[in-house]
Amino acid sequence: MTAKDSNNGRRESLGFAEAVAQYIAPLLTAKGFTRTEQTAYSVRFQSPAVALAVFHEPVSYELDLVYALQAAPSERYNLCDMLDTVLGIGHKEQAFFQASEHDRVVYCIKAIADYLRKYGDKVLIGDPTVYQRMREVTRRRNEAYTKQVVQQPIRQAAEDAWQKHDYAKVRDLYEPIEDDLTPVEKKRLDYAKSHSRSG
Amino acid sequence: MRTTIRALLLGLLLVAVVANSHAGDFPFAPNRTVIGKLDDLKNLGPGENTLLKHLPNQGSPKLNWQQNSSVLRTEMGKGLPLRDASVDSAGNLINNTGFLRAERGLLQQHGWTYNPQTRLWSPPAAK
Repeated sequence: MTAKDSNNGRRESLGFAEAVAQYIAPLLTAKGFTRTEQTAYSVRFQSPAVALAVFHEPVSYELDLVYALQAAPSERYNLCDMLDTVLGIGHKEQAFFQASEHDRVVYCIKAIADYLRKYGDKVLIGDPTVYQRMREVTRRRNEAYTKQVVQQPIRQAAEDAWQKHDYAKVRDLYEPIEDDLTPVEKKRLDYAKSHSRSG
Repeated sequence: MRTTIRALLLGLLLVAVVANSHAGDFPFAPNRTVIGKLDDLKNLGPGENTLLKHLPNQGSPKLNWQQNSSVLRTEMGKGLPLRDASVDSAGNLINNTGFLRAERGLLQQHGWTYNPQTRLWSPPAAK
């Protein structure tokens, strides 16, 4: 961690660690966790099955959970992953927390604790079935998002080419992503193919 | 004979460079800037840097984002690819929230493209 507050005291006055101790630690203790580390930015816990940390990021002030099975420490998940797995992608629960005021920090930590209480039981005990499902749900979600990021410039370039009636370029851009085209884009590709045969 | 030995040594050197380039499961490049969630920025490859040293806390998320986006724009102006450290084993982007989401959005708005194979964001001209 290289980003430091010019005033560490101010950061500690936000009461992050105290809020974690008050609202999240009791839930974890009841599941066999012990606290292993505490700073103004993170509090870490461990049980025989799961390692879990609550973060208050120094620069963005985001609050989140990161946890992993002790048997697979590199497969880390966060609060959003838990909610997407338990509730399904597209759920309406808020999974993003950010706070730079004491009251807001406490509010966010209470909300995260509520989520853990409502949806985190199997995550906290390290149920392998839930982690297996979480692995699949997050993999599909991340793949879909990455595909969207990768294809967005291609779609934009094809749109520009379409406006310029450059059908050979439209065809060349759309063909590699044909399986992912929308109905409108598919029609454009068909049209572009029939108008750029020599290309 | 001397030529053969020289070719053999060159071949070994190339193998060593290629092996090193895969040491961190991403392509090695000197002075490469890496973006990602703080927890993902702890394991940098040789010659890699983050922007964190340019991001002293300004006291609020809003001021920090102003600073962060300004520093990222300056870095983008150099025209060099940036590695994304918040990825899964297949190179898919993960942890798309908060500042990282905004950073990725900024890159996309400026025509930068992401390649899951290399885990690099590249500027429009370097596609």
